[in-house]
Amino acid sequence: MAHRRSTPPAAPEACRLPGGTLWAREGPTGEFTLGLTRSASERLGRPVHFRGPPDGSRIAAGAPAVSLESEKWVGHLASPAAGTVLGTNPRVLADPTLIRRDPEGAGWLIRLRPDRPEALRAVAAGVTGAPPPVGGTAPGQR
Amino acid sequence: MNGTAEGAGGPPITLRAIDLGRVAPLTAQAFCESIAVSVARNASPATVLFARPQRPYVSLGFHQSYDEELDPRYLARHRLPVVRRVTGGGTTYLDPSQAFYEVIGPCDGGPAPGPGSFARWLAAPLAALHSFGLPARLRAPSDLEVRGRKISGNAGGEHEGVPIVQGGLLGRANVEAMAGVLRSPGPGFRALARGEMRRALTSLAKERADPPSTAEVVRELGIAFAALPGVRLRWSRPTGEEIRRFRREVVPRHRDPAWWRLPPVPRPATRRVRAIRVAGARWLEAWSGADGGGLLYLVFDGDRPEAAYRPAPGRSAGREGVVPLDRTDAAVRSVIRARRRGPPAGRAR
Repeated sequence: MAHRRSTPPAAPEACRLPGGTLWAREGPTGEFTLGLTRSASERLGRPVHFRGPPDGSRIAAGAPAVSLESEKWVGHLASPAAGTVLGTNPRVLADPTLIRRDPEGAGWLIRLRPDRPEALRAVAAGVTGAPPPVGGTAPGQR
Repeated sequence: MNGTAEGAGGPPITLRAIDLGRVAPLTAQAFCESIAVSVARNASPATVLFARPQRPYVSLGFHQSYDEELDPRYLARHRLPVVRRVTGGGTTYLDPSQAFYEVIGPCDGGPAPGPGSFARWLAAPLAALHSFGLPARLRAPSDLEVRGRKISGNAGGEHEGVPIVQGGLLGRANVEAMAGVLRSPGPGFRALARGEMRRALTSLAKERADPPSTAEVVRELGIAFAALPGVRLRWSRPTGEEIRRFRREVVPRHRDPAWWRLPPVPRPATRRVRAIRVAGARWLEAWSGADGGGLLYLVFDGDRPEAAYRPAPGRSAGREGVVPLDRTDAAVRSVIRARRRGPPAGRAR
């Protein structure tokens, strides 16, 4: 069970976010890489389409950040934090099946610079407890 | 309901049923989005919507591009409106011979939304087909077939976080129009698409000497949804708020080119220039030659190549506008190899 701390630790390792759909890994300059967890990708089926937000766009916490289509089902993944989108994985754009083949490695989805990195660190560390609002859920994930 | 598609365990779910009747294409396709907002806000229960379009139209899947998919001249000539749906899948031509069902919600702890949840709801149209004496079966993930031919296409997605499954039963299979609306990469492609669709699709009119009317289909669908294990159906009407939201929010969004003319999803530059899923795992694809040469058309069933052609403009004998190729042809083998390799890992365009 998570216990409250006043200062959440940094999260250098990939951390599973509440809900179990996304993972996040903090980079050296405060940016976060986000991807689909292996268990969520296994429920997804074979991805055929992936659309991410434009580079540099602003995104609100809980707003749909990416859309994924698999076996005629479209799902949306919500951003766990407000911030600026730094980039979308070009390899996944080229070949969405990479999300299924290597979800926690080469199949990452987007890079985000959160407005409040400490808030995302806290979510990633499970310290704040409550998951971010999820406007859309991963395909195969409630 | 905490149960499965069979409804095992958990209390029954109350499903509001609404028959919109015969309505404009945008209403038939997108009224569900207004209901999804109500369901998301707990202002309305999970709902099954029935509708029949007043006139033909074309529906694009959520990730599809108008410019890549459709032939604007055909659309203009036949005055066909285009509606982008919030669910997945490919381009569909829809007409008044079809009856739609759309399940909005529930978020009830049942099977997680996603491809795995199709079977839960498609049991109802399947039962309706059985009631018409047809030996229908589900071909996963979401096609309903009669004797190996598709009679119902279905797609899923989410709006405001609420899962939506939508589909319809084909009253007639107008393959001329189904193939006509599609953008063709070269001579003969559309004729091939027509032929493939003719073989792969069926309809109530084809299967029954006395096909049911769309009103009869909706009636049977209602009975079938009511008979789903763990479901309590309650007939009702849309709320005033759902009607107002549809007019004020859903309709304007669908009329905005930013929605219906969304740019294509970035994809790698490959030799595959066009791909149409005919039904099930059957694909008709157009490829450019390995050396940038002429087009080739291939039919695949899953990963298995079934037939290959090259365009032959002006040819009238045999297949209109195409010449069959042997699968041992070097150019055909090159396409098969490229398809097996998958897209390049480089930059997307």
